[in-house]
Amino acid sequence: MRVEVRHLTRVEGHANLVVDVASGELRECRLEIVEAPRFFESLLKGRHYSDVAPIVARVCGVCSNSHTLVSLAATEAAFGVEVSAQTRRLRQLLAYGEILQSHILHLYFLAIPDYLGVTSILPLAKSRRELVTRALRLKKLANDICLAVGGRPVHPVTPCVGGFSALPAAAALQELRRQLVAALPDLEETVDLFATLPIPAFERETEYLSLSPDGGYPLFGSELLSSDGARIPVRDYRLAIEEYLTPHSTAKFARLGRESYMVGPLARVKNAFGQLSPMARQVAAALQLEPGTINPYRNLVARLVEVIHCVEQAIHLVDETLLPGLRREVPVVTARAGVGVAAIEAPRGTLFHAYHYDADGCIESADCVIPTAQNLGNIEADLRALVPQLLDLPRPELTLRLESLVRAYDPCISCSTHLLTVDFA
Amino acid sequence: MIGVGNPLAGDDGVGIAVIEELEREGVAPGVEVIDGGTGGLTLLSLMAGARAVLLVDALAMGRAPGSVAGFRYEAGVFRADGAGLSLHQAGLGEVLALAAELGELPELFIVGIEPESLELGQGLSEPVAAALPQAVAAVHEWLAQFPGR
Repeated sequence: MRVEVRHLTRVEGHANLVVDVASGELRECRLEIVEAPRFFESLLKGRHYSDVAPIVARVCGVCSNSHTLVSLAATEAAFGVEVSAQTRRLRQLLAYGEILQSHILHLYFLAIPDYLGVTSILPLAKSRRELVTRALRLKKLANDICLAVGGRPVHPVTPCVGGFSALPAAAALQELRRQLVAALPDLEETVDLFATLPIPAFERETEYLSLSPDGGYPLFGSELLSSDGARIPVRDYRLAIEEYLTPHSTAKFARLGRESYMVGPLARVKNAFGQLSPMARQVAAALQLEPGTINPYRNLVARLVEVIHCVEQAIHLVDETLLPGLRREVPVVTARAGVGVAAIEAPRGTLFHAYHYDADGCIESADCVIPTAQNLGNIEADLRALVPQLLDLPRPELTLRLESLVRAYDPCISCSTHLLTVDFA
Repeated sequence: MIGVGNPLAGDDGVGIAVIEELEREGVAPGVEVIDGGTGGLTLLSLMAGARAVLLVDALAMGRAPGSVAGFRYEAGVFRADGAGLSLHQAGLGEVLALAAELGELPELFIVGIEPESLELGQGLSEPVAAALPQAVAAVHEWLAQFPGR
């Protein structure tokens, strides 16, 4: 059997999925990625540290805040700069704003069409208008968080090495708090909606990687946690994560202790279930998402649980920021030669930046490992396990099932690659 | 006025370059200049509440690189089947179609500049960089004509 889906829609990027089955046996199954040259590293070479974050903020329209924040953390690690508690809180709030932006878009715009029998959100603007306007209200809330803290809804401008170049007004933060609380009914309706979606049953255990949950639900941090038990200092990520090439793809795949591993919402929920906010834990229970879940389709549900967590935590972060009063702080930065490595939990999983600086504060070399590249091998392994279980399904249903599995990872290949297409061979 | 595009993808950044020039020059009260980047659907909330919107973007019109065109947006000008709905890069067509479907599309004008190269890397190509003054002039022309100003 040869199935070809030339263009996998509602994912970010371009790839081909090739599945070849002969007499009930899976002969071939691969995700072909067409990756652009590793331009990220070359783009940063020779740049002064003050230019680095504004450049990486443009790498991606979805994860621009994550790229910015991890870039600043890597530079600060290289220069030995400690940031204040206020900066840490505001950066966390900004990161949560971006996770909300990305997750809400994924849930409502990229994933839900699979479950409501439409090809895109457009028909729903007619048939389920309340759903679309609710999605846009939640999206706007997330944009407003990024705008208030980062100075723009996308591609932030206020975060800088050592802190912030401009602070949000206290009134803007109070308004955000009001909006966050006002969003609760929309979130309740979202949970009700997703509780009705028929998430396909499929189980495959793998290795799950995230930042360590020791200081709370993973976001920033200096240690990685693998579900297989390993704890790895972030600065040693290159020793632990092996990137390898396969003949069918120009993208790099990644492995840790096993053949492949998963990063992203489900990995985080599994590794840090006890650190979810009280409301997020309730929603996880309502959606039957348990730490033992090994169904990759349930990344979708994990994403919704994280939405609840981010909203609840954002309210606390605003309070904790306003309570002591916003203080204007002047970042003190002295460039020096050295290496800085940092990681952040971006919407799609752990994102690494590593920079070598010269004594003038200019980049000698840079490295970036994006979540989707880490998930590619795992998506393939899932598909190899899944296809034999679905051979009795009619072709369109089989295709949809495989496509929505790929989409469950919310792959964003544009940081490092172009378009994504799917071919079933 | 919203500039869209990615300055790390060659001429795709021309919309941002035009917006930056307008920011330097300054604009009249009541006009907001926004760097929309590659925010995709974020564009919907950026346009919300505006009486009229001018989008500045690199447009593949099949003309000579650096050609500048200004026109009023009509449904169907851009491909918008929704299947490609994506958060960035592609998606302007879908975003506008969705806004129209929801009845939230403001009066919309486009100033498009034909790109030469969208290869990854910073900086505009020679013909597109040379067209910047013309693109800025096209924006001013629209502003001057806009009724109620």
